[in-house]
Amino acid sequence: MMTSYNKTITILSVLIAFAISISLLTIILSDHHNTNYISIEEEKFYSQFFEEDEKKIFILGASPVNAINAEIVNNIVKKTDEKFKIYNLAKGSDDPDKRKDSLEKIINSNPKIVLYGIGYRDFQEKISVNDFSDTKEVESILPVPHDFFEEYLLSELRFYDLELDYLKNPKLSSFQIIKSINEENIQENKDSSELILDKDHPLRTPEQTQNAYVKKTDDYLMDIAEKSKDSLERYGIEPAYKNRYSISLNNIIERLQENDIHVILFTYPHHKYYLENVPEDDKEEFLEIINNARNKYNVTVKFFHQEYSDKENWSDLIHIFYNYELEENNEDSIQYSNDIADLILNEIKENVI
Amino acid sequence: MLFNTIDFVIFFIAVLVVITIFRQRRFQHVFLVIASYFFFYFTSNYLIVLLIFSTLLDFYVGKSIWNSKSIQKKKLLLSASLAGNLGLLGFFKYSDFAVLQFNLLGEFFDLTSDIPLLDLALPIGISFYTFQTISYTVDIYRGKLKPSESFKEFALFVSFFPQLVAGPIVRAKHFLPQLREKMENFDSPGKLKQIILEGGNLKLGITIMSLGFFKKVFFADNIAPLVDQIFNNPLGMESFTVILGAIAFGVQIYCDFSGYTDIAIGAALILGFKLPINFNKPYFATSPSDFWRRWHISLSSWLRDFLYIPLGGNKKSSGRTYLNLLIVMFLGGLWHGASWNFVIWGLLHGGYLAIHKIITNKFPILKNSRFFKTKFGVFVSIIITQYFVFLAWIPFRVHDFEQSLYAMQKYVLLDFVWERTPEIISDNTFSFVLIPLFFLLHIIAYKKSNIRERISKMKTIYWVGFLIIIMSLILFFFSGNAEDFIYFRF
Repeated sequence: MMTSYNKTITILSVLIAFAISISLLTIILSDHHNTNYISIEEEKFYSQFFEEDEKKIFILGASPVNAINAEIVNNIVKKTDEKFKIYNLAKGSDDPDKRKDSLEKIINSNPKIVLYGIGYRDFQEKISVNDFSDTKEVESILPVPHDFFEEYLLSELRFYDLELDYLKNPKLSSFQIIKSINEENIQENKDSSELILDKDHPLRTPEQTQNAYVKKTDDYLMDIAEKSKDSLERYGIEPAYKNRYSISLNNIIERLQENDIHVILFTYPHHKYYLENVPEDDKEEFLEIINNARNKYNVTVKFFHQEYSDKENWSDLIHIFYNYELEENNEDSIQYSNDIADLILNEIKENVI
Repeated sequence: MLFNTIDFVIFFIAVLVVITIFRQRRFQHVFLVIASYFFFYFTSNYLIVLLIFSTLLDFYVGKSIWNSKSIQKKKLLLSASLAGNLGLLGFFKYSDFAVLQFNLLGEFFDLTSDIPLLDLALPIGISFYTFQTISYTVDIYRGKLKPSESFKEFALFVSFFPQLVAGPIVRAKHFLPQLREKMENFDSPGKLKQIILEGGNLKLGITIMSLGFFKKVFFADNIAPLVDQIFNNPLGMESFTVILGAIAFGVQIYCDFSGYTDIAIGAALILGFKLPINFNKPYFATSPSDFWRRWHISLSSWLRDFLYIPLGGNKKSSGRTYLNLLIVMFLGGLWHGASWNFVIWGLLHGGYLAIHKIITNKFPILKNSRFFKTKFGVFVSIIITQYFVFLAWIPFRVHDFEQSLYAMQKYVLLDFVWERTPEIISDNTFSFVLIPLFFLLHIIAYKKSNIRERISKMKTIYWVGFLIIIMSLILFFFSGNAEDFIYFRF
């Protein structure tokens, strides 16, 4: 009797502790979730006062989209209409899942067009932090119980449908909260005049470009392609129907279109050594994700991921080299920028924006 | 199935519920075997046949050895068991390594043949369950253990899911009696015992499991980014960075592995089984041999009983003793992985053990010194021992030989440069802060003996508070991806 009573108390204690912990997590993190992937600079950018008649064009994506020179694109597009202004809002490690956090702010900024640059990594499951071993995974010849659990039992709990996004990466959310508390404290200590938003202070304007990369040799690129081959095979692209990044991308397109914002998708350039190592089924899944978006939302899609694969000027396998303080080696990034400008011009012409 | 996933939580709760509802003892044991096989199949798929093969082989070989009158036949049967188990292990774990070395040799001698690699996946837990079954047949051969009469009992011993994939390596003489109703009936199996979830074991088991998850998810997984940044390519790093990386990795691997062991021990305890402890505060070891009495105890005792002692141990000449130590640690290193970096790690520890023996033999005054019995003397012994232990972690973590050598040089020959280290610390502030926090908690655990039992005996309200703190820290700092346990790869 005592033993049963003790067991009952123990089990209840565990359940109560778990319930309290999850509640704390929900209360603290869900409230701050919308600032998870938005930096202070982005907050400043989106909260500035834009000129009323300015026709904004936002370029989104991860760091491979940085190579697009907003000034070059701007100069070309402005020939059509002076009111157009290009903003390259690409940021490192971005993906559609993270980008969803700034979606409302993008919409509220009222751009005319949003170009979204995507690549294979945007839809891959991300590499494990303990991935320093060479172990190969067991191929599943017999039925896999995990797939059964995921499809039939856990699909109801898919976080992206139940608005439980903060549970996908609680650690990042926690860090963001700590960081934002810290930065708020720093801001409070600054002179108040510094807090006045400068309307010419966006993330990246035609006037500002970053020159972060170094041009690498062919041997170096071949070497890193060899080293990353296992990772590409191991952390592939899940089918579109359960790929959370694909689902997030579709949500982004849908919300933008609901607000009369034209959406263009483009695939950013990849080096040939990268493309050679992408598993065939991943290539198929990637194309399926894009075609699904194109067909469902009738968006313009332009494929650049193979067009630059033989070019000379790369910083690594997915970053075209650019450094506008130098006169040489920028020809590919300039070409890339010109191509993006042409893409925008076509969209403007066809949709009379 | 990783312990730190929702899959395992659901699986474990389901096992407990079924065991509680269905009390018929035969059913319970069969159910546990099926559940354990399911657990293995979940991760290893068709490679479950290897586990079944190992189980069948050693069950029947064990019985045959016991029943055989002829020494020659006993030896032959034992050889069959060793060949079967080590053959499996050798084939899946080391064949590509052997082929690679052969190809490198061929290149060196300008031979044109290039044997293709088999590219085999490593079956999970194979390094552990093969050693476990080898210990069973060897103990029977030595007359120290009577073979199990029941295949169900033996199958459960081999496949028991809490310790199946990464230990502790359990000895049959400790585990089999726990399956029987009367544990003292060691010689006659008798009835199987009924598995009852007992209140005390439940609370202690949950306490141990929660500490295990805490070590793994909160400490190990959050220190990993710092270790990765330093050791994914340590070339060009300065000495202080390398030292920081070595310490960080030492903490990571301890928390990862001992965390796993705690989860295994706690889960087994809830089911009413006592597994042996695998760690005893190894970072307080005062000598290399003391370290190996505290780190991965089940493996080091296995190596002592089945390798070191058969080789002669320390019963032969001094030179032979030192050689035995090197051989055992060489094989111990190789057991961890088919790669020269693990061999280097093993040989380093073998060297430490041998040199320590040489010093204590040549200078017995050091062994009996009053200084080393004082608190400060113990502290000095710990610092010296751990300096070498953390040095050895470098080749364990850094697989590339050139990079490993560079990092070890930087660890030993300080450059006193302090340029990149602040940047690396600043990029990984949280990981960095966890290191002193770990050592603080470790010191508290060292000073307060039986801390887990003390926590489990706290009043309910305080125990709930403890669980809330642990669970909250785990949840708030969980990255969303269930990271592999490091020792799952061995």
